[in-house]
Amino acid sequence: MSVRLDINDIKKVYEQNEGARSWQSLIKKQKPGKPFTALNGLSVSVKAGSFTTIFGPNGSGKSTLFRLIAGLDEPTKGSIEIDGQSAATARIGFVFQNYRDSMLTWRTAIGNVRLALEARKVPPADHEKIAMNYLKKVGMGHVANKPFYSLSGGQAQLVSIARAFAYEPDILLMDEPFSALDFQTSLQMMQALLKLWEETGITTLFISHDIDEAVYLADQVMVLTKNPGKLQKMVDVKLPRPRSISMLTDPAFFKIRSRVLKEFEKGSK
Amino acid sequence: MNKLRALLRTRSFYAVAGPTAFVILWWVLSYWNNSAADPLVPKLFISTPDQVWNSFWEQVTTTDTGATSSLFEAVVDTLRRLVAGFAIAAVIGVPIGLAMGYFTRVYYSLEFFVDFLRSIPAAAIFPLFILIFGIGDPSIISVVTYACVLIIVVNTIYGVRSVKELRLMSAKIMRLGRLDMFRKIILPESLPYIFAGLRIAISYGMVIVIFSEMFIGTDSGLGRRIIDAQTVYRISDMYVSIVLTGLIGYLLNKLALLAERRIIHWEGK
Ligand SMILES: Nc1ncnc2c1ncn2[C@@H]1O[C@H](COP(=O)(O)OP(=O)(O)OP(=O)(O)O)[C@@H](O)[C@H]1O
Ligand SMILES: [Mg+2]
Repeated sequence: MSVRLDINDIKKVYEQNEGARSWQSLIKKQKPGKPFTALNGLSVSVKAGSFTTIFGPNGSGKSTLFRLIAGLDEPTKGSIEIDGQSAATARIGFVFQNYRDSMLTWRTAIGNVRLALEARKVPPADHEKIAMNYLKKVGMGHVANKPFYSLSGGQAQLVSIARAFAYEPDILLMDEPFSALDFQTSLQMMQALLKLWEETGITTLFISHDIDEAVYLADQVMVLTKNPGKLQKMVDVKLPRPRSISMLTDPAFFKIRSRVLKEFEKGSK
Repeated sequence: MNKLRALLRTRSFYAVAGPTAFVILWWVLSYWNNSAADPLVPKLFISTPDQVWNSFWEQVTTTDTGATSSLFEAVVDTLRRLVAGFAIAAVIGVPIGLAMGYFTRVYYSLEFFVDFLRSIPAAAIFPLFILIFGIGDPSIISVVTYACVLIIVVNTIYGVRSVKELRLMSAKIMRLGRLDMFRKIILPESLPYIFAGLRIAISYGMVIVIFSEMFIGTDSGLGRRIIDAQTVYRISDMYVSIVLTGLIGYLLNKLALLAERRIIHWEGK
């Protein structure tokens, strides 16, 4: 059921003045802004059902890569394939850092999860049960009928994770989902996320700026170079699952963490 | 003592105290003016609160005051014109605003007309409406509609523009249909602006009804009564209609606010 993701020699160039042409440009030749290369020559293959974290400096094109996978934008060169097919038909789940702006403030927690069911045309009679089920899986059953705006940051983000899973995506993309949360909360979030991921086996990509988080969650850490971004190194994380917080102090964890850090420093030079 | 202090901290205390103070001030100043040997303002133009109240009571209790219709009928006439004109404006204005906010092409096609019509005051267009619709309700209602519709359109456009990019993006990733996108995201998120527009429009509509009743629009309504009372120097009668107009405007605004808070319960949270 899980899908493999292949990113083949991707290049993404942003044309700066695109779309911003004014009438003046019709009579006066305007110098177009310099095109900006966000990604250049990124190739990587992600195993079906694996958990990959993406670790790279600011501006290395991590969010750009997600936009391309989600089909919100086209690569300038190269292709993205899911199980050997064009990614355009794949179902994508997305969790943003900014849950306040990506969720429906005017609905309840469960109402937000229901949106995913409405989107994939589940018969309405089943909505309540399925949505509640996903909320319970992230431990948010007790806030189901609270208005979304009244939830704490951690609760809100868990609800948005529940929504992403309720959409039953082929690929789950998470762009720094926990970076606005405190340490304690993000630990709880990681556990909830891993539990759900282990249950569903959805191929997951997770952008992180926290090296401990990146290593702890992953089967493999995709380290990107500074701009223009490409793959610096794929670092395998051979730690047993299920993960537990005590592993954060394990020597094996530290060894992997140091390798990731070394690659990161190499890529940022 | 403590109770008094607690009372001084409630909002309703000030909501009552302000208007009460105003009436007392009016009372004192009007009595002082009207009882002076050499009044600051000619006595004829100043009514004391009790004179206004007596005049009001007289107009309510006696059926024949020489006017063509009763005070109650005048209120009903004015309200009918206002509500009809406003309702038509809302029914036309909200969809146009939504379309202009959502479709760039519609926006650029209509932008000129909206800005052009906004520059023509309702007063300037009134004579034309009288020519078209004749003297009476239809011309008054249409001038109210004209005045309200542009306010509603412009505010609705702002509402659609205020929709968060990220929310649209996450709906797009879930492949929510165009109609659902509209119903479930754009419309709810525009509502605060739409309501603000409706409230401004109804206040402005009141101005326009009263104004057009005063001139050749009709022989009934509060505006008519104000002018009729003024021309025969029945100053207290005139004040009654002025105060009533203000009270109706105030109540309409309160009503709209109440509806707004019930419908847009998430606003400002
Ligand atoms: N729409 C756009 N038009 C032009 N340039 C863009 C656009 N989007 C991103 N960029 C540029 O592309 C580069 C990569 O951006 P991206 O957001 O993918 O980086 P990132 O790795 O997610 O960074 P961060 O860690 O800060 O989130 C940046 O330098 C950014 O300024
Ligand atoms: Mg980013």
